[in-house]
Amino acid sequence: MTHEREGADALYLYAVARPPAGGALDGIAGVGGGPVHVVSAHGLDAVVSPVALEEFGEEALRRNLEDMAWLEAAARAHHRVVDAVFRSTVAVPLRLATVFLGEESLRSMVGERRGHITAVLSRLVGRIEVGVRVHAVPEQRGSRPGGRASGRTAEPGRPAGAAGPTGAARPAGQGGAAEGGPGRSYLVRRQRREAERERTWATVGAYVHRVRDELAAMAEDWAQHRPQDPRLSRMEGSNVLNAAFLVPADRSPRFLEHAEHLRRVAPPGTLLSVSGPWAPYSFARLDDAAPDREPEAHG
Amino acid sequence: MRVHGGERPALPEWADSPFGDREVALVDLLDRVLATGVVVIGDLTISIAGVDLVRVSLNALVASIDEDTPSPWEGGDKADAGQERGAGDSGAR
Repeated sequence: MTHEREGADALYLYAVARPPAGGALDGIAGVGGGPVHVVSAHGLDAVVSPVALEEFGEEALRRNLEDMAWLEAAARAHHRVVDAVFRSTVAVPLRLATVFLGEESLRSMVGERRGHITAVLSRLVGRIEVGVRVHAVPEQRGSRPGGRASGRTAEPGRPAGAAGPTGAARPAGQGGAAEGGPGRSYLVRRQRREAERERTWATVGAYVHRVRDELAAMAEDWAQHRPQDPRLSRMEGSNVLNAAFLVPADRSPRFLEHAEHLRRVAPPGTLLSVSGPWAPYSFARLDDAAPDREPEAHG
Repeated sequence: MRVHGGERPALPEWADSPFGDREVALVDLLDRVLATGVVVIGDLTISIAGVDLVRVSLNALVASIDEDTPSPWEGGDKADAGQERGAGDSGAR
């Protein structure tokens, strides 16, 4: 990521906020290192920093988005600014890499969507986002079938399991009526394991529903993200819940307490983790991507 | 836990700790900055607007991680299966 500012010929937009958004921004560097500042637009504060076209132009952006180091630095810088604004006023965060050629086009975008933005701001004021994910580590591979199957070759004197020492000696025809031959008992064990595995997943499923339902009932809104790739999360097992909850800040201690309770009662091999508080990224949708239709009714 | 009343920011105390000190996990961050947030068409992003930013970036990300770090499950299943018979024999002594 370049830190020189000579080529700063575009504006990177982080968030649109209810004024004043400027107070929290002193000394904060934006993506590419440029100074973050506020552009006043139609009664709202657009939080921006200058960026270079050679880094954020269409071509460069496509290339840079595929560069993990660049992407991480940009995402962290973007978040740093959004988070600072979020901690001082209510804000609508923009998606990463929203770039304008100048203040004029930025202002006209804000003007066209002013009604929508204002509505979203009203919905988000005093709210925070809490992330909750659940990972389930599938059955440990500890008891290998190969080890148990060796009971087949065990001497009659040494009990090899529930089937008993007579299992190996009994002719197959007779055995079918009673405990069953070694092949059958292997099958029974296998079915038992399958059933156990199913019970485990059913338990995990029930737990995930419980987490989602109980936390959603304490939240104003909730959203589900796609499951996280284990190579990115560096977490073992499957990401069975990746959710975000919109919580009024004054109710968040209770919400967090309940999340902690749910974490403690997680079934074995199931891990709940909480992240946040986030600016309400996951709930900052404009109802309509198109500009406001209505004329200036509330001017 | 005490909550600051009335004043802005109306964030609870736990907003600063323990969360505040901890670096945000990249995967949680990308879930948010790439997949959510308001999408408006900036001057320069018009032609990449139709591109699935999440997919493009995550594919690249996964690819670059694969280069740097062996994935955690590498050397798992196949090596295991190969050893299974031998382990069974030695187990029977």
